[in-house]
Amino acid sequence: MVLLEEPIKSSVTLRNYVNGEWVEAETNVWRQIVNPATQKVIGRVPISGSGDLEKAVEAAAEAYPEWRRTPPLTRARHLYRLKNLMEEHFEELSRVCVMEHGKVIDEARGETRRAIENIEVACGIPSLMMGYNLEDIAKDIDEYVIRQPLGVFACIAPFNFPLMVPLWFMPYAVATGNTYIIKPSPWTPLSQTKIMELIDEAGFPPGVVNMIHGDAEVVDVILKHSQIKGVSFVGSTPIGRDVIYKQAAAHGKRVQAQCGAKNFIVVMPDTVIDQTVSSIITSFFGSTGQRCLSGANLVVVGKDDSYHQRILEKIVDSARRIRIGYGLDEATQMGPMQSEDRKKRVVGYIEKGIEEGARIVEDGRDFSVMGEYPDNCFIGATIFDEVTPDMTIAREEIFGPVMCVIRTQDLDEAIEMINKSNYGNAATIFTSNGRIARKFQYEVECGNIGINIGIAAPMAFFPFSGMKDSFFGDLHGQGLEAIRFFTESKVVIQRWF
Amino acid sequence: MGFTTLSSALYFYQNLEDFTTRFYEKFAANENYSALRELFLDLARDNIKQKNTVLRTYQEAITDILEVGSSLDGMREEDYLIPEMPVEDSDMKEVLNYAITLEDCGLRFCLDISKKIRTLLTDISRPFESAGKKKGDRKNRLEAALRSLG
Repeated sequence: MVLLEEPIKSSVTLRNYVNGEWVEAETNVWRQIVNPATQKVIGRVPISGSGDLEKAVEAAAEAYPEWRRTPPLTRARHLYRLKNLMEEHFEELSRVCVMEHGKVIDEARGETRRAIENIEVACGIPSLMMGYNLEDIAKDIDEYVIRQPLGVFACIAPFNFPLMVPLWFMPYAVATGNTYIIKPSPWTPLSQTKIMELIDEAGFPPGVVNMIHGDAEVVDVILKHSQIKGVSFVGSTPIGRDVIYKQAAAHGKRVQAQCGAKNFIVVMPDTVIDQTVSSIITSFFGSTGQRCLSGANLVVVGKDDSYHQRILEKIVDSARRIRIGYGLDEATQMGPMQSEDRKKRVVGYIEKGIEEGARIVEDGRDFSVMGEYPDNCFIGATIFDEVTPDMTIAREEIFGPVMCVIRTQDLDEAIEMINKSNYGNAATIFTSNGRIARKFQYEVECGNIGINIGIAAPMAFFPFSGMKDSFFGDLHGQGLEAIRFFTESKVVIQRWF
Repeated sequence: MGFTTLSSALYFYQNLEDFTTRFYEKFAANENYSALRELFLDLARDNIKQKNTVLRTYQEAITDILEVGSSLDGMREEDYLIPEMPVEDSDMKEVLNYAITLEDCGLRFCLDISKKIRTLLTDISRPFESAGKKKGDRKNRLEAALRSLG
């Protein structure tokens, strides 16, 4: 057992980052940041008020005209510097992420990598932001499209990918000439604070990127502020749909709200079992199930009882062998839930599943942790068999390491079940048959499709898609869709006499 | 104990390379082994280079979607244990034999892990394979040096 050194030695007090300076929040409300594995307090975060956000908006709005006029290649150079600094601090960033979130070190390093990839893609802004043109749309008249930034944008970030998610948006926003405000999750604000230290070191002009710690009050001002042109949000469906999307749209803003999920993983009888099981285990139990692309419902297709039994036994056997512990212990395969409340919520769903008649074949409430850590946030992998689509555990997002196994007679029944779900974030099929895979890809109403891929996570140069109750807005984060989200198309028709 | 995560395997590899570098540097600095000095310093430099290549590639290719260490099933730390470093007044043959054992251990580890993660993490598998092959060449150089002692 090798325990990596913790980068945070004693509790830190966070400040906001406004106009290129670290400033105290004008508030008396603070929240403790607790390492979910050790239960040690590692920091305290201010719950800023509307006045703090006003200052950030003012700084961002003031920085905008000059930043917009900065050539795209120069803007990209700031991002190159940030990328290099993130490479330099790669390990520190990843370990901070483990300490505040609980995920295991390899997952955190993967998160840091994906964050950097978004910066790398945004560095291509001189090409990505180009418009297009056509000569002679009429006699001696040419027409062209140019892409222009809009002003100040903001991001409301979730707790589960504290380092990566704001970087699905921010690099594209500033590369296109906008200025930006990030509001990290108050549960996991340390990773973004570290990023902001690097932004400061990279020499971005004051006001181009700002960070305000806070909660509902800050969100409310972001959604209503006349100078904020658009909002990117990642979080739960009720908040995304009923608060973010409605309020932002009502106040004339662009909005992209990437929300909850209930992802189906379909296993066909012709799949390669060993590789499939390994991928399934990661999909359902990786990041302790706290990601919007995690598997939730495992649909085993076919009439063969012995096949169903065989695959279930293999999954249960693998799940039982998962080593639970502190994410900075390199032998750990699954970390804790991010907070006690999140664990309680998962336990509540397990109880609900039993009450509604699902058969529990692996009970995550009974678990052992490697090392001497309080078990407040830890939980094991749970597997329910004989789940029916109408059960609560099959319909609602649990956001924890719980697998619901559902049987269907054929693929059509499985696709119908997926399409009936309110959510449309991701779905995966495991099969060796190309025709079946194509049918799945064609008919399933989900934004991200995996074919023999347990977690269908789009790379930075593709949009992070989503449909139905999993996404509200038109343009998704990452890649070209992000470029379109952060720019306005202006059409010019010209003639010279 | 088995390697349960890629991180734990990487940590082991890093320690192995650091230990090997320390060994070569220590004996290269000792006047009793001046005949091996150039060879050992060269191997130590190469060690650092190999380690950096593997770690850099890992940092650039790591994903948050690892298949929970299952690809490393069957790889155990105890299969690559290295004996204690010889004392400084050991004879030259003993020192060379020890170096060959070290290289062999590294070679087996690099080729084994490369094979295990080939499907899942091809980008990281490749530098391990290359490091393993280089360790084979290094072993040959050490064996040639041993033969030359008669």
